Amino acid sequence: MELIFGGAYQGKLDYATEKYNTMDIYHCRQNVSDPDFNRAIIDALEEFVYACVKDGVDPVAYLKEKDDVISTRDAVIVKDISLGLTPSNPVMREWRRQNSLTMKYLAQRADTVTRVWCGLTQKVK
Amino acid sequence: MEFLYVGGNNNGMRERAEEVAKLSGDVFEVPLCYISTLSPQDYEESTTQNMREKHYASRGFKIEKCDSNICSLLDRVDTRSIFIIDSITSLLRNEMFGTDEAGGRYGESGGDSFDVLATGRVIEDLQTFAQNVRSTLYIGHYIFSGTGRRMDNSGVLDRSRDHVEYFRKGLALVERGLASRCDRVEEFSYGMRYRFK
Repeated sequence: MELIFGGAYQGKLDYATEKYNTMDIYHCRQNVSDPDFNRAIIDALEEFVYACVKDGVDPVAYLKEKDDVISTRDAVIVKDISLGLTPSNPVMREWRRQNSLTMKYLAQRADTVTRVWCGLTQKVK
Repeated sequence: MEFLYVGGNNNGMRERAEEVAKLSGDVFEVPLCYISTLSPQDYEESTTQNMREKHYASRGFKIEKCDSNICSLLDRVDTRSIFIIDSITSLLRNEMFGTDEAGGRYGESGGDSFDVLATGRVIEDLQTFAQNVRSTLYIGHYIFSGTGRRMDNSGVLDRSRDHVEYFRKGLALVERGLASRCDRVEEFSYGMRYRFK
């Protein structure tokens, strides 16, 4: 599994679909904390994390339970939201925290970690 | 040649651009030109702009101010020059949230009156400008790793509320376009740089 991360609008999904030559994508949604991850590419995992925060689910524990599914995907895409201003909304703060914890976990599990920046890539692992 | 330097505010892009422009200017014996795109909104920005212009003038750069329509400069600059465009962030800001018919700034009232076509225009203008000059160094800012404003569940922005997200998306498109075609692309983080190409 390749973990692909980067800021908003940087071209993460374009990179993944081109590299894996597939449109078999699951787009996470902000109100689904129990998604179907059986697709080649899982996009916008931060939305899943947001849904978990709202529903009181621990996203890392959830992903550990689903490790056999997650670790066999081609790519998991997460938006890095950790570097901006501290949000005033406590839900957003918790979202930011949980998203970073999720990224740390996935980075450990991933075979490859790639950062996408201005449409260009940087291999981190 | 085109160079793109992107990073956080005051992370070293300007110093690097000046260093590369000066070195190239000395080697090729061509003039240097600093294009300030900042349209000061308050005393602080005005002071910053004056300080930067004085600095670059003292380093041998010709100073040009251009807060929008960058191609309008082509008629009055020496196109053999090496140009520093500081910055594409403020250029897009001016184009997207420039003054409206009443003289106020677009978007300030929180309404939907900002220019959604600004991004495409800036991309085209920068391309035209670069095609007509010798070398351009672009300075841009990285503002894409915060939580930002949340979109609705289908990932759609609300034009009446999400001015900042429109701007972030627009700037990302401009910078991705530049990163794709520039000969050198570097990221800056607290004075350190990572060369992408």
